[in-house]
Amino acid sequence: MYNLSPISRFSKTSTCKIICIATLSCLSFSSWAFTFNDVVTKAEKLSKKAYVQPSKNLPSELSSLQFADYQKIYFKHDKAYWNDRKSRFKLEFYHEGMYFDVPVKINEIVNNQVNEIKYNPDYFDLSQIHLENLDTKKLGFAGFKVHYPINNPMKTDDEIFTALGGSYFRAVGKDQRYGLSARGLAIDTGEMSGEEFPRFKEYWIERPEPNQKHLVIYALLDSKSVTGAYKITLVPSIDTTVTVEGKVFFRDSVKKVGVAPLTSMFLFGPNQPSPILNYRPAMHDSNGLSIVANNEWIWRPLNNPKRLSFSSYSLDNPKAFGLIQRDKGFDDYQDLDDHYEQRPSVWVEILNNWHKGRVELVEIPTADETNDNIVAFWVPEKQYKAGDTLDFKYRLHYSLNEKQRYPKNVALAESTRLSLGDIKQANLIRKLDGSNAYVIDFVGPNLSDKKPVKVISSITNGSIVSCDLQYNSVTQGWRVIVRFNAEDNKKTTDIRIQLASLTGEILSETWSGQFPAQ
Amino acid sequence: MKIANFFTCAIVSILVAGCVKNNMSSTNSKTDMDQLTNLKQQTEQNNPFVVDAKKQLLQLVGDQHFDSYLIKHGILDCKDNSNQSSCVLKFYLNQYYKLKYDIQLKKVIDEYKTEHNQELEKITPTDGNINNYCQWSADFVAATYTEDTDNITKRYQPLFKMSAQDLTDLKTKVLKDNYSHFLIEENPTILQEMKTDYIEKCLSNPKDNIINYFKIFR
Repeated sequence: MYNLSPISRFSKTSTCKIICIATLSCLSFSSWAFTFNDVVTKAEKLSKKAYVQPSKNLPSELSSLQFADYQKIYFKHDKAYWNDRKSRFKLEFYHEGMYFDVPVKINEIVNNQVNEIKYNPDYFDLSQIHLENLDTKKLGFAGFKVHYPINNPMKTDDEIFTALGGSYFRAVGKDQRYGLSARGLAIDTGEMSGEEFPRFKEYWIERPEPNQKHLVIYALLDSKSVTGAYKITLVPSIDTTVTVEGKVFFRDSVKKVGVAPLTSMFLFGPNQPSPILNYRPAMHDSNGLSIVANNEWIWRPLNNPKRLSFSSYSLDNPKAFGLIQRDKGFDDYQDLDDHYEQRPSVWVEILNNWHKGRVELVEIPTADETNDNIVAFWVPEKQYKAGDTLDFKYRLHYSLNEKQRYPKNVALAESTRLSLGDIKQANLIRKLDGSNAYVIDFVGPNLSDKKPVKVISSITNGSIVSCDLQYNSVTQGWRVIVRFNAEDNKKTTDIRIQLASLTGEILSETWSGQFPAQ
Repeated sequence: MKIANFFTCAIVSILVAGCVKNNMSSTNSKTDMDQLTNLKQQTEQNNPFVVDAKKQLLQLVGDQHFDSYLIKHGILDCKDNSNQSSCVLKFYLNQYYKLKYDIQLKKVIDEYKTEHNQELEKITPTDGNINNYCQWSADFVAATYTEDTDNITKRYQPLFKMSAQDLTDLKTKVLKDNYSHFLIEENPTILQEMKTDYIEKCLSNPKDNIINYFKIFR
């Protein structure tokens, strides 16, 4: 039964007080909840202020380190965040050093409260570089890394994510090694005016619950032209995914904005063999750009060109693109140190409407494998000016099984080999004919020797000498040998090849190769 | 001629005898029915116990052959009894309990037969069978998360001897698991990881993790 008797003055007052306190606690509790919107507010406020160049705070002993020495600065594993908890995730930090000379602020979100993770020299061991006596008290973190038992539930120290320098981050899935990097945003990449590198200046990382299998990281981006709020959701597994939700505020007009930028390395491979003798058949973190354009799947083998090269693919409301490491066997690389076969492909799955624009591929000449010379990103058609905002959401898939993303009715250009063109003479000796040739092996469950195919081909800046088709019983696919002559060797020659049935049904992705300018 | 006359007489005799016999049997039935009607009237008059007992028996035997049933099982023996009401009441009650017992017994036997048949269909929990069913259970659970209706109804429901209710229960349980749905949406490959975890858990405790274990294994 409810008590329907009138309440006394005292109990009325008490009730009011209790309600007020409860309301206030609810209000203050909700104000503690830290969400993506809080970072958006910070980014918007920051965009209305003039950009302040971050000041470098590194002593010369640390700023002069070479990469191999910088790697000798160890984070003491026993100091890892969440080490003492039942969490699958552990958080470790990077020391400043080398060109990582600006500290980033890192916060932990615990029960909706933000606590700054303060730099502590005790976290690091500098004895390997003989700097254990250096006064580093006033330094900060250069970035952070995340550990998770991805390969073995009993082994808890697999590093699966790293955020270090600018807005760069990398991730790996099961049985993978770090390969290409992603960035928060690319500005004016390859432009004559010079590239602007926005940086994540502050992070907020949600402390995971025990048994939680995902990690949420918020980040605040800052540069001369833009600020931005990011929510990064990391889900480690066989393929690791990183879902990126971003809102960018423009302080200034920008000539070229690159959304979902991927940065990789291509030194040489069978489609562009090493100019100097090397026992390794290939050295690259990725060997092709793949794009889903409406119903067409485009495959663009990567090059290490002699001159800076730009390639663009115009699209409306794109679905996905990625930098792919298609060769997966040790035999393809023969490198016992770097194991390129374990470096993942990264697919960008686009989760909202990006309207009109283009996927741009920038290929930068490089003489060694330490330079990330490949960049791919989305460039919106819209020109952004001060006061504009840009929203995007996409998911990065770090995968060794990227072939499963392709439909079964699309045969893939499994390999591309560059050769000098030749013809077989009457005496059976092959003679060079002055042309170049690409040898492309298409493979897929929709191909067989019983189903004849034809080649659809086109070329710009050159002419096709011949386009031969041969069934490859080893791969159970079809081999296309296209011999061609470039018209102007100082320009790139673009060739497109597709396989089709005799009735014209397209059976393969579009091989969109580029013979670099010589 | 003589022979023909003889046959005619014989046939006529046979027909007459047959008719007489039929008439006698019909007369007997009629007499039994009359006697039964009389007996009922006499015993039911002012005796609600007999009426109730009759109704109870009627529910089991049914309307159509009730009177024949009574006669066949000897109710008319009561007509010569000094206390007809008591005799008829006893008859109704005896018949009622006998029938009820028979029905219950049949039910028990049928249930036993069904269970026995089900038991015969069950398989032995060998390592191989446990391995297979753990793998299939993981696939089944994964199919439920991805709402692979075709595989669920055509493959897994019969394979796991799932009733419609069993399936609804499983789907409800999966539907409530918001966190796994979030993870699968974020990262579809986590489903593979979940399957591997499930198989591992299942192999260490098959009875709790093989779906419908007790309907499948002896």
